[in-house]
Amino acid sequence: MKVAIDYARCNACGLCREVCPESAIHPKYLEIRHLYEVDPERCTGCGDCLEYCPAPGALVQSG
Amino acid sequence: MHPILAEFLEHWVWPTAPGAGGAKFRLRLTEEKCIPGWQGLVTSTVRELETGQGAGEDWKRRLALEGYAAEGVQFSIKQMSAQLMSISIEDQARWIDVQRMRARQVWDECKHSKLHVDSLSGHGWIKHERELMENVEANFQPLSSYFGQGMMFAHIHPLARNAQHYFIEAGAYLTICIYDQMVEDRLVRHQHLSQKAEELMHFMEGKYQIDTFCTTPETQKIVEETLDWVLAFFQGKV
Repeated sequence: MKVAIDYARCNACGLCREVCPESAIHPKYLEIRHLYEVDPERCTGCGDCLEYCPAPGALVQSG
Repeated sequence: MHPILAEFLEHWVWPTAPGAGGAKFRLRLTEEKCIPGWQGLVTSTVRELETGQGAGEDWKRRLALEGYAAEGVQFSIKQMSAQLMSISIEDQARWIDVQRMRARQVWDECKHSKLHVDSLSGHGWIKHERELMENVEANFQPLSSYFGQGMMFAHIHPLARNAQHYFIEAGAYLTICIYDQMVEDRLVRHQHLSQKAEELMHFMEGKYQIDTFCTTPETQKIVEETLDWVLAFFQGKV
């Protein structure tokens, strides 16, 4: 199980990035807006980010 | 002259607003003192990148650690302390703008920190930013800070810092332009992305303030003395 971001709901607060124990979430490189993305190779699916995300539905579990 | 410096001069340094009383003074400082300094910086940055890039990946790790130390969250505390030195305790509590400025400064430094962390974690050198709390390389910096006490030592006058706005921030902008041109690594480029506009903005603030407010021998003396101090610092003379 991995995590993905729904950009229609994400408010780019960055909290998911702070709590991710694997640093699997980072802003899109070379993108000046703060759009975060999940590195599927690092994401272990632990769900810590889901627990802290303040924007309902912004972080979703994906296959 | 390196094309990046030539372009910078053409686009940002030489244009001057009509009637700007301090422009003549600024242009003299530019030709006599700033351009030789900027040229030296550009040359050394190109040389460092040519040498460093041929020597593997470690320079990127050191660059990010140094960047984190220079702009990390802990650094914002030092910057705020320096900024607030000129404001009385009574006024600090009184003006919401001062409090807002402090909050903004923390946010700004956090943002810079994160860009260096992006490079370190993206390259796989750290797993999480927390590791940097225990890394001395990420927490020590000998540089004179932007609003820092070192730079303010020469003069406490508010206009004095324009020597730094004008000279140092232009140097930072030029360095980033060279990185943009010479470095292909997207993480290193990302690391500098938001800085580029910010440094240019700082430079333009210095240019505007010198042109607008440094119109008398007294105010010009303050800026020139501070610039001399800055140049001497970078030449290792103080």
